[in-house]
Amino acid sequence: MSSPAVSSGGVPAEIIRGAPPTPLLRLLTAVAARGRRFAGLAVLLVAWQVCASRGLLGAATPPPTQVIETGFDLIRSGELPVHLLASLERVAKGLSLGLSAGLVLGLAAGLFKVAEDVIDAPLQALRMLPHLALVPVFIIWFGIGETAKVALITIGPIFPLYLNVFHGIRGVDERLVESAHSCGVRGLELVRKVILPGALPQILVGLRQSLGIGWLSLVVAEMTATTSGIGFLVTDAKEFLRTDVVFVVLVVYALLGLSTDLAVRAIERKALAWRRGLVAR
Amino acid sequence: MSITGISRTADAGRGTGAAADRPAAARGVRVRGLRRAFGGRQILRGVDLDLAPGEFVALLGASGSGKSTLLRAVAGLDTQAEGELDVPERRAVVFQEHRLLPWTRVWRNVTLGLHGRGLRERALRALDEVGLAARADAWPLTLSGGESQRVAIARALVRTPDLLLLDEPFGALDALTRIKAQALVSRLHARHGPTVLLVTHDVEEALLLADRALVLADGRIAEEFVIGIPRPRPVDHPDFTALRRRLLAALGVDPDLRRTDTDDTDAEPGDTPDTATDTTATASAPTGTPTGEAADAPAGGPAGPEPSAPDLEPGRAVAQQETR
Repeated sequence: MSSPAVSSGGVPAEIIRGAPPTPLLRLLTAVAARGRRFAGLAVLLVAWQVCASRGLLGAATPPPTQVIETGFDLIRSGELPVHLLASLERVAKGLSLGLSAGLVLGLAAGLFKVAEDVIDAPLQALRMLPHLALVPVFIIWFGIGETAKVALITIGPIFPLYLNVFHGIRGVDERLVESAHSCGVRGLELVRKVILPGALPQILVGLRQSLGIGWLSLVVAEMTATTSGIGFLVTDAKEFLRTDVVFVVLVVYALLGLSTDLAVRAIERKALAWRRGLVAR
Repeated sequence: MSITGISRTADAGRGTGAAADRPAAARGVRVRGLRRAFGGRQILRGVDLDLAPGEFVALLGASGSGKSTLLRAVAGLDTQAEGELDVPERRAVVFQEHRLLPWTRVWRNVTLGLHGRGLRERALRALDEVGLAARADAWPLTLSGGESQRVAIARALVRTPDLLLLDEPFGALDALTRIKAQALVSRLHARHGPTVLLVTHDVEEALLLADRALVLADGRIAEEFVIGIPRPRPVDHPDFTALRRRLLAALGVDPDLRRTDTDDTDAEPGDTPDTATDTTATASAPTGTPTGEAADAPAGGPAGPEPSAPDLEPGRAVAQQETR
């Protein structure tokens, strides 16, 4: 078997096979690999710029340069940070409630048969309901204030996380559990050392899905009856035909979703290092 | 056989009494009337089993005969087995698959379930005995099959078990690695002297390692063979030939490959076509034994098989009776 220490530097396999890599060569390949990944995006941006400035996308579509400019204006005026903060607060509240609920329910159902019997059927039924259709009900229940919005962001992320935690736990290799059992590992220690790590890959998939749904719920929640939040920014801009502002917010949505996804992937890289067989310390 | 090395470490680390201090009876195994059914199918029908302290016993049987079921019951992993079990408190199991936690580094796998200080030192000492101290910080997925199984053996060793249960531990290894792993287990047994129950389907392995071989058939211990060959045993010891013939016969396999029992449902699928074409041999088998023996004599070893040949028939008769 090959020595795993060789590949611990994160160097692509092609280099290992050839001559010993110099630091410069390593840097160049890393840049090239990144470059390829961003090439498609760059082409898209350039095409957008060219088409928009020639009016090919209609008079209401701003070119990227204008979107960037408007973005900086919004930041400088303090408008974007204020609204962004309001939105982030809603998402933080909703996600912390929803993710906790999904995790706890999934753990309970996965670990205890009794809990599964009680929890699983209603959750499966609720899961089939598009949670965004609950907006009218929530407005009737909670009024048009913050509660209805946070509730909507709470509900959506519960289901993907619940489902993945539950199935992650059930998918843990029974033989590993038995072998740990034979080593005297029981109860909480078994959950901590065997069941949770075994379920973790699946749990992280659920987390990524849940975060995506959290952001989606934010968009819908802020479409009605708001005076703050980046969703309000869009509604407001629409009234004044400020498509450049609308585009700025779209970009912000994309960046927000991307950043949480990257964060989870970073956790994955760290927590699931064993899967790549690295000898990293 | 004195207990050395690891058990002393255990004393330093945990303050528990050494295996050698305890009465011999507590280190052996006594099983009476062990029964276990799966969905109405009775697999174990009252097994009686005695293992003397420090004894190495191999448990053989056709696949599906309940070998592993018996081992799991003795290991205390089967809560639904009924019967009288008197088993040492300190026991360790090595399974056919290494069953290391892939998300836990090698040395932490070795000390899984142990608590207290100096765990890493104990793990390193056990890993050193199986020649893998250098891989202590590796992830299990970076190990080869043989290395993983050696880690699993180290995980058992570090517990200084009075009873070591091996469930076909070499079954998944390639032939050369298997020989090395068998030698390792033999050495470790000589050094630490735990009572060992080895479940295997490999007759050679049983002969090489065990003091006694038991054949499980029809839910009971059907036959017992004492393997009195002095250790260390060379793989080509002449006495092996005779013992092998008797063991194979007890397992319902004809050592001359001339006949199979058509009612033997546990026969390997690959055996059937060969023997089906060989109808004349099958029919003439009982009377044809002498000629067959003569034809086989050069390959069968010089002196070994001839005196034991008469034993073969009664042995087989018993096996046939017991096998359904």
